[in-house]
Amino acid sequence: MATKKYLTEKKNVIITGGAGFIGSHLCDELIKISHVICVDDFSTSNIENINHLLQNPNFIFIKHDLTKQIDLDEYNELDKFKVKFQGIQEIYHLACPTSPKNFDKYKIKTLHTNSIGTINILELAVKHKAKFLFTSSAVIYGPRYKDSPRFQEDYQGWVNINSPRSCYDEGKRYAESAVVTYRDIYNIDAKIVRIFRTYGPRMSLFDGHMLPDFVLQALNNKPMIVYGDKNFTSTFCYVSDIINGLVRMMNSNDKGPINFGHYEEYKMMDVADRIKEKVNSQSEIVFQNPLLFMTPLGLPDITLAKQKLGWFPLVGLDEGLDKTIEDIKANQHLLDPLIHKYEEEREEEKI
Amino acid sequence: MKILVTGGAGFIGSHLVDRLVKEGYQTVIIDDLSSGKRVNINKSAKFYKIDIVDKKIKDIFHKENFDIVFHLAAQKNVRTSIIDPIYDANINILGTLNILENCVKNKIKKFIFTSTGGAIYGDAKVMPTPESYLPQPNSPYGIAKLAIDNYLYFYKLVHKLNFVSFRLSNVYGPRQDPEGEAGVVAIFIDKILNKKTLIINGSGRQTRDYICVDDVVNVFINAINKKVCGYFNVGTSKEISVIDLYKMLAKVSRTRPKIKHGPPISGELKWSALDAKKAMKNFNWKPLISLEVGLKYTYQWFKEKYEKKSKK
Repeated sequence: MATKKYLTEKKNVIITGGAGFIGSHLCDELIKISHVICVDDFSTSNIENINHLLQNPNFIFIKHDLTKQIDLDEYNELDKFKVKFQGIQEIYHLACPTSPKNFDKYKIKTLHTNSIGTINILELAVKHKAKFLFTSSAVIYGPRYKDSPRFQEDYQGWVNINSPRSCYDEGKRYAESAVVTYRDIYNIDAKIVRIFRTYGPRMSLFDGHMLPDFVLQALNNKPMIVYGDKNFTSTFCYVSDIINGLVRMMNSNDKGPINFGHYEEYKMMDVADRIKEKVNSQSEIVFQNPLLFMTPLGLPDITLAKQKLGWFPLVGLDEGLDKTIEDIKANQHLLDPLIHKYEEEREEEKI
Repeated sequence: MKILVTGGAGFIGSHLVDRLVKEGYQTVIIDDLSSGKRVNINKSAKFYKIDIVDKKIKDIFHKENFDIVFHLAAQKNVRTSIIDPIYDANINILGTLNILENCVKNKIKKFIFTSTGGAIYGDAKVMPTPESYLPQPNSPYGIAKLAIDNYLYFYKLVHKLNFVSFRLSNVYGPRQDPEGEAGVVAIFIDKILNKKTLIINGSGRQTRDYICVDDVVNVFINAINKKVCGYFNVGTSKEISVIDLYKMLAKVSRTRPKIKHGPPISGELKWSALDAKKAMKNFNWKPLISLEVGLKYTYQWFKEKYEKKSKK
């Protein structure tokens, strides 16, 4: 690709949801070559994820709730990146509350972010003629479909618009519609990717994602809780592969939608087993009622990503788990005081 | 638009047919299944089981009225061509001329040929080698491919047949046959999965330019609607040694396969890499799949096939 010259020599890139799990890894990657403007309001994300970036001269954090209009002129700190002159070149829109366990608490926020929030950030993209990438989700396809468990991008999905979780599922579908409409009408270079289940360091704990909790539970010989039964299966893509895909997508001419996910399907129980083995734990694996927002999801067909972007996941489950375990071990001193949360949960369940 | 793919049950041909069908082209396959496999045949494509040397091909051309012909059917084994040049020439020269004559008689809009890079240029003094390099094939296989390249010029000149000749580097990917001599990637992966020792001919420092079949199919597809004729290298421009390939496969498969060095094979190229700038420019194309990604994905495909087989 031809390298364009910018006033500041670097692209100005906005990452919404940049303090989240995937967002913060994207910040880490893009800061190597760009100015990163991270927009987040910490609704379900954590400042710990970007702490190490706050001192970086190529990084600016803006605490902002996307459901309110964003006016970059209000932020004087952006003068450092000459935003008034150079504008914004790329926007990665990742923001959306994600909390399987406290899903109810964020329902309105989820609804507003997917709708009003997405429109607000699209307006910004129009204003700056910025390239735009929206991270949609596997949930837009709905539950697994008997005949073909792997979803291709042209499958239109089967989603309940009135379910308790439709603010997320249908919200993501609406957001895709918003992206496509803005692309048509305002002729912006807007792209859509659909991300399947992802894991890795910084994934939030105590929130029903299971996989990171397995690690902490195993390290402390606490029961490892599977929400669902023995047959709960899913695919697990390591976060670095997803980041690689997002960057490739932004740099390509393709508009998507394109699936990003891992091809291998595992039983949640087997993942727990593997983690248990890896950390030499005495934990037992227990099963609890499934969470509304932690469903098996369909499996991705990733042919298109390979064909159009040359993308294919490189990190296998063992390698990814090792890295995730390393990260949680490194933060263990911070996490130890919180372990009791798991027991409280078990108590609740008994009542 | 109706498209014929000869060799459409083979390794590259079947990937091409799958894409053509997906892109909505009416696709017809000619294959004698001498090395192509029935399982590779796309169900949405029409299939004729016939040898390209067969004169009855004429009837198929009359009946189907093709717009474009992709000619991939070939005798693909370099060593076979050395042992039996007449057998090789019969298929790769006379068989191809049979198809070409039919193309002319039926006024085909474009003939797209799969030629070869390495075997045509020989151990070239320019790396990566551009199309302008003087070809000096060192095997009957390379000679036959170059002969067709020359015939294509004649057919264009005299019969106005539009053509594109893709000179491919070493193509790898799912469905490649580990039994054949060509395709070290398939052979190595097969050995890794069967826990056998990998045999490296000679020092292992000999280099090749490995390109993933999906990238090859991408440039084929782009050629359908571009109005250019000529010879185009298709490769990555990167030289990878057999030893490096082995290391990468060890990483991708997370295994430590055993290796044994065999004697070097006489007449085998010492080095090869193709300069594909011309194809990149003319077909708005570039190879997208890095060797690591391509090997990972190919390994995964073979692994799943292997696991299915062992379940049975």
